[in-house]
Amino acid sequence: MFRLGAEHSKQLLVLEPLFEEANRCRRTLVQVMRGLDARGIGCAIPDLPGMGESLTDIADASLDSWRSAARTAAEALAGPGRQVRVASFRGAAIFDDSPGLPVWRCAPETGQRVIRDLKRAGLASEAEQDGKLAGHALSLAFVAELENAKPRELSHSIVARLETDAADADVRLVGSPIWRRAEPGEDDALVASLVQHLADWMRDA
Amino acid sequence: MNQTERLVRALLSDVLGISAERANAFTDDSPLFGALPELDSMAVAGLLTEMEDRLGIIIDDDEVDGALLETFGGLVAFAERKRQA
Repeated sequence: MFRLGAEHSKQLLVLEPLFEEANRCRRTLVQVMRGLDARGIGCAIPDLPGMGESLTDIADASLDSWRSAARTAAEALAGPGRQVRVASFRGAAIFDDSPGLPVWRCAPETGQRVIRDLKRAGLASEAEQDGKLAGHALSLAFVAELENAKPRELSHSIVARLETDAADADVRLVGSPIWRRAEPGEDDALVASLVQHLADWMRDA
Repeated sequence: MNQTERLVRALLSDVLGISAERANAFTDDSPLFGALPELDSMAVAGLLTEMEDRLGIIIDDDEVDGALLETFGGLVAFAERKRQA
């Protein structure tokens, strides 16, 4: 688990986007975490089974294993006098309810769209697929599980989307969709917008 | 410049990470796929999915062929058709 500002009483569990999008967003998320740390909010990114630094083979991952990893990570941040909330990015919205905490969702999407994106990237790629989905050796059961997974309706959640996104949202973010960038990049406007909105939301935690 | 054209320019700039100046310099005949080093196969997938999000449309896989991303004008015409459908 990658942590910044573990000493703060307010803690934010950050759930990264899934698969390739996690790599594209990693730098942006760390910049956001630094910004929040400077405002007295601690942050942590857990490594989900099969993702990030996890030693689990992605072929052995399941939605349940992700749900339980998110819950365990939230418990690790909790403690006397601690307030913990969750920020999920993109596809992570499909399991962000598992810690049972208030959630701030950045451009959430369904599991079906996550899989569609992987299939599309695979179709467009000239490389041998070798039974993999855009390079990820996911089990068929997991793919089926993801395809049916949707973000759960929550009573305490905020949906944030970019100004350019046609879908409904509670909060509009400035900047570009860094999760789409084929070449990893930076977007200072997006980082500033995320830090501002997340800090405002964490204030009443 | 109509709204769809503006939208497609912003889309190319945001997804490919190219400057607004470069995106604004595209004309109808400007070649895209094969001409822009940033537009590789992964970027094509991202471009189509982001276009769906911004226009609130669904693009079927059988609508996607080489011709779709051949020129800037062709991509704008496709987006315009999908918006009106």
